[in-house]
Amino acid sequence: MGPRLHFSIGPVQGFVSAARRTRDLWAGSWLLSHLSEQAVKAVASTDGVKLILPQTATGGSTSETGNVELIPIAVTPNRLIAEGDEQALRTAAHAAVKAVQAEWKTIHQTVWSDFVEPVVKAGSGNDTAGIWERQVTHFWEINWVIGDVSAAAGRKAWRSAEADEEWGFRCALFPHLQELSGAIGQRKPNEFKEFWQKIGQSNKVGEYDLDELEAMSAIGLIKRLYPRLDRFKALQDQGWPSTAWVAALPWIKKVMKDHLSAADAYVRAIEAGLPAERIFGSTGPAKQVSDVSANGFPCLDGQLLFGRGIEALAREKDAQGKPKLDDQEKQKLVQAHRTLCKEAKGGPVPWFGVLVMDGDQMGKLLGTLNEDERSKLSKALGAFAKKVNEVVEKHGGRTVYAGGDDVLALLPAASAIECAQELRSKYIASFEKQLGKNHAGMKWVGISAGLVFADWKTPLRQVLREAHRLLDDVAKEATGRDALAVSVWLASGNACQWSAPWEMVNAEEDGLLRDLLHCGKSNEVSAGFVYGVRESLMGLFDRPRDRPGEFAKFPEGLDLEQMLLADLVRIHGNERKVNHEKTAASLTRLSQRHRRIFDSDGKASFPVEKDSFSFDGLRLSRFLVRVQKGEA
Amino acid sequence: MTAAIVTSTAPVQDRLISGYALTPVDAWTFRDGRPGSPWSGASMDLECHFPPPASTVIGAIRAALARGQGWKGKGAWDPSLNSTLGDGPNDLGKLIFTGPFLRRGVELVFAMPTHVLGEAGQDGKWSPRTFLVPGQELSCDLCDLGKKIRLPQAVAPPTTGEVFKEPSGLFVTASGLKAILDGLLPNVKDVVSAKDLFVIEHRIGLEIEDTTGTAAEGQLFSPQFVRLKENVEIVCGADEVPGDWTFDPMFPLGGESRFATCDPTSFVLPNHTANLNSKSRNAAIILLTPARKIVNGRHLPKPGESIIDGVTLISACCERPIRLGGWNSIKGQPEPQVPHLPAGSVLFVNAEDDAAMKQLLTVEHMGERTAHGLGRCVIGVWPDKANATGKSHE
Repeated sequence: MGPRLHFSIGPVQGFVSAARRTRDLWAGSWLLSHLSEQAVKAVASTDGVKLILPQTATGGSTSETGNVELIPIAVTPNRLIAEGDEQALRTAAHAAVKAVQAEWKTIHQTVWSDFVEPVVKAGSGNDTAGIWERQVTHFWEINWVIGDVSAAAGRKAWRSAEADEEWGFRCALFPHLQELSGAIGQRKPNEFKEFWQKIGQSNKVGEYDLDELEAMSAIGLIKRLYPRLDRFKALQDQGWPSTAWVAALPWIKKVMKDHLSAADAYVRAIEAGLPAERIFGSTGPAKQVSDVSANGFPCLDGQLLFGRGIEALAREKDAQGKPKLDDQEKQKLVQAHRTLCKEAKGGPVPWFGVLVMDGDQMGKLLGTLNEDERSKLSKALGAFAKKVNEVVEKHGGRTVYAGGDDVLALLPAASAIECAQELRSKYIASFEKQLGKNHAGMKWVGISAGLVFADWKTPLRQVLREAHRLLDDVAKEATGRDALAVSVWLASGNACQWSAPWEMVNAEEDGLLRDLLHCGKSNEVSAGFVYGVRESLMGLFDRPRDRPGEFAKFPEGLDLEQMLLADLVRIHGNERKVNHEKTAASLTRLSQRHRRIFDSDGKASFPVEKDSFSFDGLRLSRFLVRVQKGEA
Repeated sequence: MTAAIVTSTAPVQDRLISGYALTPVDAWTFRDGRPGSPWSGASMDLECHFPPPASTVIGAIRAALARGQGWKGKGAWDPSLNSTLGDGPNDLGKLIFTGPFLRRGVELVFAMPTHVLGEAGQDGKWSPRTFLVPGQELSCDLCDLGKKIRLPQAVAPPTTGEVFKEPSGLFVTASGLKAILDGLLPNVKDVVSAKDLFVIEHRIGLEIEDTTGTAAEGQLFSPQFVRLKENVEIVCGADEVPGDWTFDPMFPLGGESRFATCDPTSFVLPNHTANLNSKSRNAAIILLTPARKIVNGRHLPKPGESIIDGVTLISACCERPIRLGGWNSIKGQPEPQVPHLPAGSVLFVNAEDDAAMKQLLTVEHMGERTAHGLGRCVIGVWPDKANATGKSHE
């Protein structure tokens, strides 16, 4: 094997997760992917250099023809590997750095000249140009090294990012950076307000681009506004569904199918009370609903699909400080929404899912592959990434990124687990196709998932943080990788956390997913039953409190399944004993800790800890079924 | 060269440090600099960072000392106190602080040095497996860091099936740190995870209307709080506090003026290793607290740059810089956020001669504001293959 170039752009999480809206999440992922694509193209076009990962420069964020056709999903990974002779790789590395910097310069200069410069020229801001220049100069960490894997690991360990002092008040997206008005000293609301109101007054800034006094750094403002640039218009047209819209999608479909006239009436009521630009989000997300043209219902701003969303809208102000909805309009809309929900026999479920997935044990897998097989690994990852969006859309979700073995997607709560399950199947199938089912490395192939269910009003940063914690700490570390970890997240924290290896979730005969749905659907497992079990069992455990994600040790000699069966018979009688036995067995499996353990040869086993007990499986079971019934 | 290294005149000895131990009355919150006030675009998600920066802890201690001397808690204190307590966040008067550190039971815990690599076991627990040390010099322009670079390289590369991980979010006990300074891997029992020390709690907060005393409509926010595990506390050394000064042992610390209980205490900081190789004159400087502006106003020296006369940086293992600032309650404005090299960072250096090596061994701090507790460091060996692989130090 010849020398290899290892090239990376960062920060990844620090840039992508700085999001107050789903739009920030998409825009951050896409921009990072777009910059990475510039590097990939520069390396691919260097004589004597062969791309290893990704394998080709196509399929990135822009089409081969230029800026018009944009692929709205981030697909280019932030790391690339290429091989060739040292001189060619050196040339490729310098070309890649230059290409990334040139594209970044074009974008930040256009955002500056379109949105900020006119305000500064009109006399607002305190050293805004200086703040801008300082922040755009040092933000990206572009690292490269030519050598083997250990050289790449060494470069990663030496984080040499430059950083400057930041003064004044902080950016709403990147709290370590100064906001651009440059207001300093004792709080000067007028200076600060004037600057941000002027930015918001630009005719290029849309209704939803900036909230009232949402102060941004250069990096924050670029991330928020670059999709408004003419060259990215196609990206803007794709739209970004809000968390409210994603949560409500199953209900939108149901209303469009069965209650079209009620939906029409609701749209008319909204049109009478609100200007058009405040009613409709982009039509892009609504394309998932087949009858978009029938009325504007699927295109409604997600917030307008919830009664408390309408209430919240009435409290919001736009960048000019004007209320988005006055009190009279609010009352009318709330009443119209009630009428629609009555007609549809219920409102939308407020829960959505954030799914993050990451391939497991790549290092161990690589160790089993020869040179030829390593290129198959790249092909397997590429094939998987191409299928991600199709699967996510099939389940009503939207892909934020699908690069290599990484996935981030937003999904309606009712279909999120099934989506994760199908993605995992596609991942395994991609590798089986390339390496063959019986390849020694297949034992290391797996992909872990962290899935958080949250109310659409939950701060997005909180949900993303929890999703990554679930993925890393629970699915990978505590459950042994190639596993699913799920939590139900409330504003007050984690309400339920459950995990299991995929093999146990998916098993055909007695899979845990089947148990989850069976127990939830069963009339035997009511809220009262769960409460009663909790009350009667807590006193037996070795810990006084029941915390999500923690397992108590069940006293030796007690048969949990028999205890649960006795409770079911006590409450429901003995008439459906067969059902009770099945339910008690499912409840028992859901209560126990499941994880994967590897022996020294890498062979996995799935020992069930018979004396472990947690209520999380029961809670998740009830949550999932209520979500599927549209009740939660 | 404008190195900012503080050296003592005598070789470093075991240091018994007097100061204070702080425990929360309930829970604390230490926010980032994200805007939270309504006029600046309210953010609902209020993250908590722990351990808190030195400026927060020493600010609270100085305020408590001042209140003990009659300060009412608002505006500047009486100028007569300035010679002892200083004036404002940058002037500490005579006071010298060390830390803050976390202590569990009787033993201090420190951020795990980033040159220790480990592997997650069956139970998910991270176990030390090897060290990163400067590798072979790259032959020419093969890295963005420049020419003739020595990147960190594992002393023992992973065997097939092994995947080494950095010690992200982990701490090490004082005895584990001593082993590391001597070039030995710490014992597994000396590795402490953050969740063994504290938990982050999520709550729902609401704004109260000044006029009615009732909840303001729609003004919900989601603050995070930190709750320390049993027997865990913050300790902070404090020198030059007048012996006859007393103060109320309960005072606010961090956001929302949450209370801390403060007790006098003392602790011992680990010493430099005595096993440095006098022939190679190589050393590893490990930061125990974040360091600010180590060389020429930068948080991280460049490869080949002198950090004191005759001692140059060869390689480094470090996380991204953290920006530390704070809130100036007198001026009602934020302090500048300055990049700091995080605690746990490791700088591999080489001394050109014995005199430079001797000078290096007198170093206790690096960078600016050492009286604030910043840049506290200890010096250890470059681990080698003989004792830095396989099993942990027993």
